[in-house]
Order: sequence, then C-alpha cells, then structure tokens
Amino acid sequence: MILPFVVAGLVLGSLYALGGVGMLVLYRTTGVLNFGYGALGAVSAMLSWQFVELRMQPLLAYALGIVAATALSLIFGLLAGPFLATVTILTKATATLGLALILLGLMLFAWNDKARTLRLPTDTIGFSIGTRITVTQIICLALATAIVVATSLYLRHSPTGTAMRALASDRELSSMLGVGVRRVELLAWTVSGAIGGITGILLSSQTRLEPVFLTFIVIPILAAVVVGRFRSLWGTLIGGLVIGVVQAVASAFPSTSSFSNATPFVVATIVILYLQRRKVVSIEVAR
Amino acid sequence: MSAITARGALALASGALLLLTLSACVPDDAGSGNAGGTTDKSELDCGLASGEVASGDPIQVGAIATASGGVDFSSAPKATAAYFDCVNDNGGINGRPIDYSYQDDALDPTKTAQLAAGYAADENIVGLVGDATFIGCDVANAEYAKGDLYSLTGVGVPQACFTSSNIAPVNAGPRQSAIQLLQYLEQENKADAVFQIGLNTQGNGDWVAAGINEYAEANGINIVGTELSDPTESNWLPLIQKIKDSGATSVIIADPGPITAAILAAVEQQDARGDITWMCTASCYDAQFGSQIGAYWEGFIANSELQLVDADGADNELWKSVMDAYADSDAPRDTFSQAGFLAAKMFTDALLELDPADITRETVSQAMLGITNYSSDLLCRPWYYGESNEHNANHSTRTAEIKDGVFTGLTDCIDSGDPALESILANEESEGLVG
Repeated sequence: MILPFVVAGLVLGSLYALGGVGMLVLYRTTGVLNFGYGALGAVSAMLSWQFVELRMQPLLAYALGIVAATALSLIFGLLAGPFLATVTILTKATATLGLALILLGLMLFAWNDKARTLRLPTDTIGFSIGTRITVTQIICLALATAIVVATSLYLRHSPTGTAMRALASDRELSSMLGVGVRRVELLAWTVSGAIGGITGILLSSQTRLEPVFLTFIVIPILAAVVVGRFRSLWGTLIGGLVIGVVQAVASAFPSTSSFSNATPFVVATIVILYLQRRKVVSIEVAR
Repeated sequence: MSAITARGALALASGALLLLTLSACVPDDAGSGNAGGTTDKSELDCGLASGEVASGDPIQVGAIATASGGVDFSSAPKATAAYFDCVNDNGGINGRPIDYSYQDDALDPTKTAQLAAGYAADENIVGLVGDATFIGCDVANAEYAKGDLYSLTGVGVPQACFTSSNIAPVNAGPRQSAIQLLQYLEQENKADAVFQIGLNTQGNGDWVAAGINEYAEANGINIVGTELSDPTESNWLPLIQKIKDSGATSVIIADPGPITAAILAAVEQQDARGDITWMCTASCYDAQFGSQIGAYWEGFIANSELQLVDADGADNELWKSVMDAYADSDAPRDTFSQAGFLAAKMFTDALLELDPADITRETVSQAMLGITNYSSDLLCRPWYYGESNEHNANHSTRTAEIKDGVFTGLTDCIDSGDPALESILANEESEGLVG
C-alpha cells in the first residue's frame, strides 16, 4: 500500500539530490548559490522536447539539451563570474535570480502553454514488485548515486578537485599558491550546468514538462543542499532522498496529504534549527 | 592547463558535430489533425467579398487577451485579426476598414482592469471582439458597463466571463464542457461510478466541480470521488490510488491541458488505466495533445466546445483558409482560434447592417446586442448576444476520441443539462433569441 509512494519518493528525491550536488559543486567552488538552476534544467528539458518534436534521434536530442544547459551555465559564469567574485554571497545569489527570470521569460516567449510530455524510451520498460518500477526510475536513482560518488572521488583525488576544495576554503590564498582560480571556477560552472541539464530532463519526465514548474523546482533542490549544510555531498544526497520520501509518503494519507508540498521547507527548517541549536550552545559556552 | 581545456572543448565540439552528422532523423509517422483550408486567398468569402481593399475612415476595435504570464490565449484574437484583415481586403464595412488590435494583460487582473478602463474611456473604440482573458472578466466588465462598451468575447474560462452584462463568449466554458462529458457517459450507460478531477481555484475549478455535482445529483449519477488539486501539484500517486480505491468506472479531468498530460503520464507509468473510461474537458482538445500523451491513450475522450478543427462545413473551411491566407503559419489552429474567428464574423455581419456614416459605440453596441439566432457550422446551436446579466449562448458541444494519435469525432452535439442554465434557457425562450 505504501510501497508505491516510497519508490516514487526515492526517485523524486534522488533527482532533488542530483540537482543539489550540481548546485553544491558550484557553490563550494565559486560561492554562487545558483537560483537559476531550475531554469537551466527547464531549458535543457524544453529544448530536448523541441528537438524530439523536430524528429531528431531522442538520445541526440537529450544530449543537445544538456549541452545547451552546460553552455548557458558556462557563458553566465564567463560573463558574470569576474563581477560576482568581488561581491557578498547574498548579492551573488540575487544575481542568479536574474538568470532565472531571463531564462524563464525566454522559455515562455518561445513555447506556448500547450500540453507537452518528454517520453523517454525507458518509461515503458518496467517490472512489478508490488508496484510498477520503470527503467527511467532506476536510471534516476542510479545516476544520482553514481554522480555523488564520482564527484566526491573527483574532489578528493584529482588535482582539479583539490584545487576546487582549496578555492572553497580560501580563494585568495589558493590563488597565491598558484591555483588557476578562473579556470577552476569555469570548470565548476560547466559541470554544474551539465548536471542541471541532466536533472531537468529526468525531472520533466517524472513530474511536469512546463517552464514555470521546472524553474521553481529549485526550491526542493535548495532544501536538499541546506540539509547537506552547504558542504556535504552525501548530506545533500540523503537530504534529497529524505525530502522526496517524506513528501511522497505524506501525500499517501488524507490527513497529511495537503501538507506534503511543504516538506522541503519543513525538512530544511528542522535542519537549520538543529544547526542553530549547536551555535546557541557554543555562544553560551563562550559566555 | 589552459591547453587541456581548449583540447577538451575541441573534442567535445567535434564529438557533437560527429553525432549530428551521423544522426538519422526519426521518420515522421504522426498525422496531424490540423488540415489547412482549400480556398484561394482571392476566393475568400469575407464580409462583402468584393475583392476591393477598403480605404475609408477606419473603425477602431480592440480586445484584451492573456498572451503571457504562463497562459497563452492569444490564438483567439489572432484569428479575429486574420478575419478582419480578410474583410478589409474585401470592401471592409461598406468601404470602411476595421482597425483591430489586442492588448496582453499578462495574467494580471490589475492590468486587465487598466486596459479595460483605457478602452472604455477611448470613445474611438466602438466595440471589443475576440477577447480571451483568463482572469479579468469581472474587473473588465465593471469598466465596460460604465462606458457602455460591449465585448463579443472569443474565449471565456472562469465563471465571471459567463455572468457578465457586457461580455458574451463564443465558447461554452469549462463547466458546460465537463457536464456534457457526464451526459455522454449517461448516454453510453457508463455513468455508474464517476470520479472527477479538477483545480481548487476559486471562481473556476470550484464552479466546474459544482456543475458536475449539481448535474449528478439531479440525474441520480454516483460521483464516487472528487479531487481538486493545487495548480502546482506534481505528485499524482495519491490521486491514482484514490481512483483505484473508489472503484470508478469513468474519470472526468477538468484540468488545463499540461496538467492533464502529466496525470495521464503518471497513470501510464503505473499502468493504471484499467477498464476505466478516461476523459477531459475541452482544455485538452488540441491537435498536439494526442501525440503528446502517446499510444497508451488510444481511445481517450475529450469534449470540444466548437466544431472539430478538421471537420467539413462552410465556416470551418473559411476559418482554415482565412488563417492560411492572413495569419502566421505558426498561429495555433485550435478551438480558441475558431472562437476568435467566429466572433469577428458575427461582428462583421452585424456592422454591415449599419449606415457606414453612423458607426459609433452606441450604434455598434446596439448591433452587437441585436445579434440573435446566428447559425454557423462551427456551433451546435444558434448564438445570440441579447441584454442580460449572464451570457452562455453556446451550451451544446461535441465529443471526440483519440484515434491513431489524432482527435476524431465521437458524438454529435449534446445539449447541456446544467441545472444552472435554467434562467438562460428561459430568457432565450421569452426574448426569442434562438429559433
């Protein structure tokens, strides 16, 4: 009875986590919390849909959608990066709201409000274990886990990863130590854009293919990042999965169903309060 | 280091290029239910059909439509503009061309009110034709009433568009659309256990749901479940579970097209279609819908508030040909477009009766109010304006089903049995507005 909800929650949660990892890689390297992340994913999904409608091979269409999101992210990083480097975290985040609004406006201009679906070939292949599970859903789960593992391994063991981590702890110091700050930042914009593109396509197949809806899906993604305390990739993965599952299971019962959409906020608030609690304690100790 | 990035970029670019050249395109197998017209531009029967370009003093006509903000209803005024252009190329209104333009309220009721007040204050605007605002009928009507300005609206959706003194939509509206699906089920003996889905929006979703409930109650139909969801909902599993648990034999969806498509995709993913008859209101009747929801939904049923877009008939043919000749090739050819076209045609025919030297807001308003018993193959029954505080002349619609990815006709016209239409029907009778 509750199994379908858990499965759906895990799938959606893994996509929140996937997006969260993309946001986190960028944030940790450049300090930019990208509110335009949902819009990047939406562009990727809408373009993929358009290419499929133009009778292109679906796989190529998805690839082009992801390339487009990557390119947009890279271009924004290229143009706005130098200016963003000198301003506060809050100003950086606000600047990305501009990116979100511009992309959303362009999408609403380019596509009318008719019904669209992005039908992945793997949607129709599935099996039943008390509930129906499609290959797309398995891909979502596997991809999210794989990308988290790959990213954390990369950050830990590759020279660029070390440079990224160095940037995250002290930008000026790492610059003096010879880290190519600009190059590493642009790499972060690129990787983040690509993950955003993949997330957008998978989310649109699991939820709704609409520019506005996908643009605002940045909220649960952000909540997953909050659970990861803006630091931990694994925390983000767990955060995304918890938000997804709680949201889906809450929707299963009439008494909690109408509150299920508040899950990202509830989970994020609880985590923030928990972290504050520790801070309060430390202040008390300091006194 | 930078050389590595450049080489990487080059590899990526050449890889993409290779993929592009290697990619064979998927064959085009989906037919579209969107056949164009067959009449030459010079043969079009618009207005006087004189073939002479009207060059007199222009007659100013406006409209308000929601074209941006997430909803795009501009296909109605686009068709209105196309027909007026055709009229202007064919003698205009006894020699005077119609100067038509529409403004976008961007899904913002404050803006609708501003635009409506602007039109009402501008004495040069003699009337409004082909409007399609998704939100502002109530605020707009207040302004129109002050200025004695009338709108021959193309498309109305919320309740306020049908309960206004100065607004009369050509379409039937979501409430009639939903009730007629219920009536179809009744005709086919499939109305045993009906589940209804819609939006929990005030003055719209609740009004449609109330319509279904009132009709069901009056006719002894068992509504086994009602789910009115938030417009931002994306998790359809609880809904699917409720439908399963309710033992429904039919499901009526009264959501906007994109939401309906998302629900259907979720049902397909769970393979939960079962033996249930699934159907939706006119909001998902468009040429693209069938191909979007895919082969799983063969036999899916939708209501259509006007004639099916690919049907024969003089006015439907004229609409298609006018669109081919005067509208952009990417302007939608949908029900809303038909409605905008028909609004323009009725308006033109009414104005042609007037003395061209005496076309003012007053004479035009009288001519619009005087439209009665207007027959067209786009409609099921004659349309009228008439003085009243409610306007819902179109209350008879058709049903279509998806065959090979395209909506095709299923039933002919069904007259609405909406209990709330009682006063409108009585008014039709007493004022002699039809027949």
